This record gives sequence, C-alpha cells and structure tokens, in this order.
Amino acid sequence: MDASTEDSRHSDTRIALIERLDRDGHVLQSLPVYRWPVTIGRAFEADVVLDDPHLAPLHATLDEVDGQVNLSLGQTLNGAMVGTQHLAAGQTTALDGAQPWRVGVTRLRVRRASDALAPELPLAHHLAFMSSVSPSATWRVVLMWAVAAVLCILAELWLDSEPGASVKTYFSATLGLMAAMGVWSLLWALGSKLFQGRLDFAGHARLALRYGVIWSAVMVAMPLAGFMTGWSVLSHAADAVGAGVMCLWLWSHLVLVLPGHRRGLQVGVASLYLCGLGLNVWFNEEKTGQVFAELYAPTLMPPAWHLASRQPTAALIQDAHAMRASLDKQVREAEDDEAAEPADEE
Amino acid sequence: MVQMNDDRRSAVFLTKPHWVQAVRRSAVVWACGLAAASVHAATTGLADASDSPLAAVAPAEAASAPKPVSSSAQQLYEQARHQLVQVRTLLSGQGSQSTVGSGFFVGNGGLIVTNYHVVSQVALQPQRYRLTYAGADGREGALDLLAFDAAHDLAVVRPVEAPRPAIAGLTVRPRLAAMDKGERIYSLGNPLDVGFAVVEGTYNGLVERDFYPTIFFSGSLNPGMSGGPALDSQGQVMGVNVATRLDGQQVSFLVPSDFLQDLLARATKAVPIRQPAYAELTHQLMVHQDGLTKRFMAQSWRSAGHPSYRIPVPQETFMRCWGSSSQPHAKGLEFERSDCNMNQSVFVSGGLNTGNLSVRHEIYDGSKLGAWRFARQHSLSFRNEFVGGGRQRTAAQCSERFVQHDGLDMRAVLCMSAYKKLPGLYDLSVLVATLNADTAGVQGRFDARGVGFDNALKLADFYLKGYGWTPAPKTAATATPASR
Repeated sequence: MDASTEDSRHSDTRIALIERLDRDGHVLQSLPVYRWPVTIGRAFEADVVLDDPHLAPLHATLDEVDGQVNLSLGQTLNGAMVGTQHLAAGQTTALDGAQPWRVGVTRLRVRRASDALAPELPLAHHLAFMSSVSPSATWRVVLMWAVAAVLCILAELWLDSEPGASVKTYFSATLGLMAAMGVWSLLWALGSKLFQGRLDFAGHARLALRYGVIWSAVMVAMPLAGFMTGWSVLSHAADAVGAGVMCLWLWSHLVLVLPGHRRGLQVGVASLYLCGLGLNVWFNEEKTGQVFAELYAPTLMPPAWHLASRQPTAALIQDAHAMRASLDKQVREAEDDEAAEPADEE
Repeated sequence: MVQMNDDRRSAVFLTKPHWVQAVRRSAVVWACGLAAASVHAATTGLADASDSPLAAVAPAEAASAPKPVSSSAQQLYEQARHQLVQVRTLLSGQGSQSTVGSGFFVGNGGLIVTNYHVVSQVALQPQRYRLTYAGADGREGALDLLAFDAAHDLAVVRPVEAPRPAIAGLTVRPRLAAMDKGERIYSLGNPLDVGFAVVEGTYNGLVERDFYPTIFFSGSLNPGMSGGPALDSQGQVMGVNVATRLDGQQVSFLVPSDFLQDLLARATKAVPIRQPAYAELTHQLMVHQDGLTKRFMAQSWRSAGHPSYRIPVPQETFMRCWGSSSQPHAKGLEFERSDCNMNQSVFVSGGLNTGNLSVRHEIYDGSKLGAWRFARQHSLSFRNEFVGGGRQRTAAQCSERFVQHDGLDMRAVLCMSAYKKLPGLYDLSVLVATLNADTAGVQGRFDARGVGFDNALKLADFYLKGYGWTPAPKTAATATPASR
C-alpha cells in the first residue's frame, strides 16, 4: 500500500482485509482496506502494490456494489482466475468472500468486516495432541510406543531363536530395527520441515512406532484368530488388512506433512489402497482362480488355543468334491486360451 | 517342511537333445501289470502269423536250443547293424535336429522300435516336429509314428517308404526264456550323435522296488542310445535302452522286451499319428493311475516306529524311503524325517513327468523350545510347502479343516490341480500337522501325481486315516499331551 496515504487512512475504520495466500492457503500478508474501490497492480499509484511480474500496472479494481465485492479487470494480458472462471481484461465478477482468487501468480482473498466469521476449526488429532501437552509429555508418549515396539521386536526374535541365543543377537537386531524406524521418522520430519517449516520428529516417530506396533499386532492376531475359530479366511485376509494399516500409516505421515490437504490425501491413499487391493485380487483370480494368494492357513498354535470343533476326515474329503468343477473350468479356460493362440502349443 | 536335496536317484534318459536332458531317475516308469497280462493273451492268439511283427518273437523252445552264435560284441554288431537306426526328431520348418535317439527294426513288418521319450515331441506336436531315421548302413528316410506305450516308454515307428531291399528285423527273446545274473548283454545305439556303437555289459536282474519291471544293466549307456536294442549273446532283443544313473558308474536301465509284443500288435493295425495324441496319452495314464492306486491302497501302512503317533509310512514294495534327522544335541527343534518316493514316473514330455506317489513325514520334538517357540517352528515348517501349479497344470486349489482321526487332532489341507492337456487327471497334495501336544508334533505330506479325481480322494482318505494317537506309558512317551 502506498505509504504516503497510509497515515491519513489509519484514522478510518478497517472495512476489509486483502490477504495474500501461499499454496497451502496460509496467509502470507494481510493488507487493510479503509475505503472502496481498491486498485491492485504493480504501479506505485495502485492501492495494493504487488511485486508480481505477471501483473499489469493497474491490473484490477475491487469495489463494493450492493453489498457485494466486485472484481473488475483493467488492461491486462493475463486476466484473473476466480474459482474455475477465467476473467479477461475489462470483465467484472462478484467475489465470494471465502474464496481465494488469483491474479498473475498471486493468490488473494478478500475478507470484509461485515462478513460472518467461519466457526473455529478443531485441530487435527496430532496437532491437538501436540498443543495440549508439553514437549516432555510428547516424548513420554513416543517413549511408550518405543517400548511397545521394542517388546514386539524382542518377542519376534525370541520366538525365532533357539534356547541360549546370545543377548548380542537380540540387541543388534532390535537396535537395527529401531534405527531404521528412526531414519524413517527423520525423513518424514524433513518433509514437515520443508512444507511446514518445523521438524516434527517426535510427531512422525510417534506415528511410525504406533503403526508399526498396530501392523505387527494385526499380522499376529488375524492368523491367531483364524486358528482359534477355524475360520481360515481370517488368516488369508491378514495381508490385505495389514496393507490397509500400512496405508493408514502412510496417510498419517502425509497429513502431518501437508495438513491442508487432509481430504485430498484421504481420497488419494484410499484410492491407492483400493486399486492395489483390486489389482491383487484380479492377479490372484487370474493366476489361481482365488481371491487370496494364501492357499491355506499355515499358522499353528498350542492346542489349547484351538476353540473350534474337530471334524472327521470325511468332512474334508466331502469339501474337496467341490473343487472338481472349479478345476475343470480352469482346464476349459486354458483350452480356450490355447485355441485362441494355436501356435503356442507347449 | 524342512527342504532337502536328494539327488541319489538322479538319472538321464538316453535321448540326445541339443541340450542335455537331465531328469530324475524317478521320471522313468513302466506299464501296469494289467496291461502286461493282456499282452500275453494277444501274443498267444497271433503266434502263427508269419508276417506279423509278433513273428519276431522267437519260440521259447528255439531259444533254449544251443545256437552257434558268437558272443563277441564285434560279431553281434555285424549281425545287427542293418537293423540299427538313429531316430531323429526334426523341427518341421527348418529341419534342424531337436532330439536324437536310437531304434531298431524288429520282425518282418518293417517296424522300428524306440522309446516314447525319443518321439514324444512328434506324438504331442506333430505339426511342429517330424521324424527321420538314419541307418548304420547309410539308409535314410522319413518315419511315421504308429503307436506308443508311455507307461513303459516304448514307441513304434515305420519308414514312410519301405526300405529296399526289405530289412529282416531283429528277433525278440521269448518271455519264458529267463536270464541269469551275470550273463553278457550288448547294447547298441548312437551315443551323443557320435556314431553307432556297441556296449558290452552284464545282465543284473530286475531293478528292485520298481513299479514296473526294469532291467538293471551294468554297462555304460549314454544320451543318444535311448531306444536302441540290448541283445543277448544269441543276438535276440532282450531289452530296450532307456536310462542311466548319473550318480553311479555303469548303472543303466533297459525296458524288458516282454512289453514290446502288445505294442507291436497295435502298431501293425495303426494309422500314422498326425494329430496331437493327448487323448491316447490320457487314456494310457488313466489305466496307469488306476492300477497304481489299486496296488497302493491294497497295501497297509507301515509303522513309523513312534510309541504314540500312528503315522502312515508306505510299504517299500515299489517305493524307497530315506530317513534323516536333526543333528545330535541340537539346541532347538529336533526332528526325524522319512521321505518315500517311487523310483519311476511316466514321462509325458520334456517338462512333465507324472503318475507317481510320494509320502513324507517329520516327527518333531520341541521340548527344548517350549510351547510358543515350538508353535512358531511348527507353523513355519507347515508354511514351507509348495503345492500345484506350473505351466502344464492349473493353479492349485485347497480345502482345509481341523480334523480328528483315531484320537489325533490334526490340521489337514487337501490341494489339487488339474492337467491342462490331460483332462481327467489331477495332482493331489495332502498336508497334515498334528495338534495334540504343546511341544511335539508330526507333519506329513502325501502327493499323488496324475491320478483321476475319484482316486485322488480315495488316496487322500486312505492317507488321512493312516494317522492316529495311542497314549504311551509316561516313561516311553516323547510327547506331552496338551492340557485342555
């Protein structure tokens, strides 16, 4: 704004703000408006002077007419974008108060004093958590998840080892996995630093550890539940559910890095998961004629954990009769495929 | 299960392809007993047809009469060289060799005998391959495939143009003329496409524990000699070269000439095979699997020697079992393993052998591990199984249940896949893991390759019912029953 006229206007009441926004919608600069109309451009005589080479000297004018703010373009080459509408030189349109618009490469928004304020938005879960507890409390939570993760790793190592395995084996493997988790969190924290300006290592470490533990729990619990109940599908579906947990894990990191795109990321990651799942099912159907890649549930637990009833062997033989039609169908399909490609006999 | 490499039974067929065709010894299987019986009946009925190929079979009385034939390899080769041929499989288009084997004229009908595996490409892809022969005396010409016996790995071909002058074929040693161990025999063929050769060796009776009779020949057979004749000291065909062991020295195998008679009778009436012979092959494999299933299920299971677990172990009438165990004083899981396989299977094509059975089990003692670590190892071992699939079969499909038999709780999985070009034949795999103890258990696997669907289910039921549990006296028990 022209500095020479600013002093004389300070006595007036602010009737609006013109906000310059970054790509994430954050306000970079807020300029008060004391009267209408307001001119925008690169020229010094403009009310709002913007250092944007893609603007005309007097690019546009904002004016309030019948309670609405109108945007009128002057002699400009590039025009303006309001929503999805492109305005050319000389055109005028009414602005929606909350909607940003663009002139050149500058995103602007007009807020009038008379416009109703939007209600306060609740913080995202992780930001709410971070703002409600002290840094030391945050690290205590991270530590709690780290302990849970270490216990998971130690349990896995213990199950896979022989009696008398050295402490060094446990220590080196645990340290290696925790270091990998740390590097993972650091890379995401660098993403936060890049896009949010703050190195949120604790936030990412908390997510990495939490979802790591949840993923491990799912991959153990589903086959175990399958064994206990006799529902093999629980074991077969463990990989698909595990992949879902990993997508949630990825989404949580992304939301921490780009909180302004929460909804878009949700749709993107969900689409990625569904597409991956669909492709996997399609591939399995093509290859094996079945939904899941796992042919049978291999998990065996101590017998006391098995709660389902045992059947006579004849029940299994009876089940197997049903496979004949499906196998013969696959043979017919293979014959049809070969008939379509007669040259490929062997 | 714990995976082990066992190449003790590795062998090669004696065709000489452009690549070295190395297959397991277990890939060679012979015809069933039922087929052999019908051969004998047919022979009796046609014995007086002098121009029949069966006239090639010398009367038993004649065989027993002394003949002034020299037993030297040199003289036998000179006698047989006009009947000896190399059988070549050529790519139809460019005419380059795909595989080469050997063969011989037999009887007076102008028929040539060789192995099925020498001519299998022509049998299954006649549009892509063709057969020719080249005689030791320089004669050459095209061949027609007339008939084959995949189970015994025999085939009969005939020159498209009858050789002039006509060739009097070799005579076949009569069925009743038994040989003694140690008798000299002479194998002829064209090893490695180098040139016709005669190999002198010893008759050592029949291979023990084979499903179909196979002659154990102590002589050096080489790739390229498949289908060549093995002659006794009187110049009669007593066998057909078929395979040799790679892991031994001079351990080779011949198809007994007894199985030629039925095939020659069929071949005289046959028209040349011009279309893929999958239907005939399927029929032969069906007969084979039916005989195999009946003979296998007629036997009872042997004991695995465990005081409490009853585990199905096959009789070693036509299977061989090998055992192994974990290292002594192992810190973790201790196991004993038994691996039983048939030595023979039916060669179908270069990438497919079928028509055999195998049974395996491992007995685990996890008392040093505790319940949870043992459960982990039990699971990993149960997961470590490959079932079905491959280019020639459909993907495997499985049924699974927790079952109980004779007091033993088990996790049982039954998987099957179907042969794409042999309709009605399936591969069966049954996986079993016992679930009656916290720190002990048994895992077993039964495989039947190339069996009919109904026979597959009968075999699966037979196998599952081989398991049971007999609580042993506490002092002898190695397993701790789970408290439930």
